[in-house]
Amino acid sequence: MWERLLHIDRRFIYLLVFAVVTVPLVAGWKSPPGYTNPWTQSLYDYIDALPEGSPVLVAFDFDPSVKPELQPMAVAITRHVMRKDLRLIAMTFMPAGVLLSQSVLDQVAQEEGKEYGVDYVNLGWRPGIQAVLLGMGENLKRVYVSDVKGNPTSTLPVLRGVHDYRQIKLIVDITGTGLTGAWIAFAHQRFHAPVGAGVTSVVAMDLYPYLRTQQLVGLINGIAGAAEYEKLLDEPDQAMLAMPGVTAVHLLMVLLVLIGNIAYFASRRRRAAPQHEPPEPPTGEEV
Amino acid sequence: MRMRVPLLLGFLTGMFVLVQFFIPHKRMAEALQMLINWGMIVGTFALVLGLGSLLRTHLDKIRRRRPAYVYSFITLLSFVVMLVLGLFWGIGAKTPFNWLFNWVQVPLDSTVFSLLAFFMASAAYRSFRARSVEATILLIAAVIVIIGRVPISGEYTHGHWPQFTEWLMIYPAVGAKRGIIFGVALGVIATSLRIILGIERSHLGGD
Repeated sequence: MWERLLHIDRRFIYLLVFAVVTVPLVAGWKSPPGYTNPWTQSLYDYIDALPEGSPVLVAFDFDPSVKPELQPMAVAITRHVMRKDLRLIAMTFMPAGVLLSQSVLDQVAQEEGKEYGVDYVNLGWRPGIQAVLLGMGENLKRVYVSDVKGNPTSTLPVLRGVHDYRQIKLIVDITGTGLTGAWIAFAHQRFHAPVGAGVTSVVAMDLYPYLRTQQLVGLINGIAGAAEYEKLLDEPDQAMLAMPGVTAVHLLMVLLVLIGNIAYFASRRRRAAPQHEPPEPPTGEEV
Repeated sequence: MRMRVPLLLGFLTGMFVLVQFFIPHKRMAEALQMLINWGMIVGTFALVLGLGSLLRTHLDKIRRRRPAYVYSFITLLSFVVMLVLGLFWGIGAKTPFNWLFNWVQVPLDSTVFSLLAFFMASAAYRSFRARSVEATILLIAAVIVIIGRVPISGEYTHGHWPQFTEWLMIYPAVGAKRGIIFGVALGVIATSLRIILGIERSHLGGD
């Protein structure tokens, strides 16, 4: 039985994963997180404490592959920034991030009644990550001469008084890559701009060393972090909708690992046990 | 000459960027800004080169009828369709480009990425075994972190479970991670110095 369990058809596991993810999504269950991570809380508190009209730069550094995990936190951050009447400056280092960021900005701006060019702007994508990061420290409007709609950045009210990182009160990098490290190295270490991040769970561990050293003001860790942020905003949305499925698949993984280990040790013990079979009759060759 | 000029350029540029960091003067900032602009222009050309390389590789596959060349045909067709739509109708909201991006590229990319969950579940079942002391510690830590990161943690588990998960992430894991970061940083510094001083020449096509 244990051997059979060890060699179970992988399609059965796929079917289980599919079921535990799909059922809660289709049913529309929402699950608020029972615990709020201190790093999610610190990013929320930092944004919440900024004075009205402060410029906040949000880097939508993600592409469609990680959209399901990162878009909910992008919406939550954008909502918080707009709700606090802060000036939102959006940009991206991923070419596909331009359209994703625009859809988030359009959705939240409509909900919050914000005007493009006055309350928020999308600077779009520029090639050369290091060059752009360093360039914004010298003169933001020289790096971004125009926004995604072709408006000259020098005429936009939302960018009035914003020359370089010194006027930007917070940078939030939302990414599934290692780009946050570049933001820390160039924008924070070189120009002392405060940096926060919202990242996929896979990337989060890479950024934990920067939290204790206060090189990051806060961190949203994956879809669970996004759900925590939605809870802090008191606005249940996509992340909380995803959480029951995420919970179920996490528990299924633990269960599979436990069953796999039990089956492995049980079958190994069975193989190691002495076999009570009659001895072979002597052939006479040994004599 | 073909070797010396790029080496000299690399040395002068590298040394300038290194030195200017320690000289906070207006002229230095202006010169750096000029270099940054050049960097962005070079970056744009690199993108064009990348596109050229993509086209050449897939055209070659189709011409030679290599295995699975039909995918190269689909890649080129998608490239041309998106290029034409973007050039003639723009990429704003309610454009054909935006529609294809939202309803073809986004679901396809997300689907491919989400397949990881299926493979991870299957791999965890087959390979995650407590075969040694180290593997057992890793397994126990993984189970604690997995349970600690879901909403039921703290409600249906011991009240301090999420805090313990966070402790695991902040102290033992960060300790190991910091060691890796220091190692990588030292490696980057050493490689950068080798490039600036012309000892490392593999980026020029040499040995």
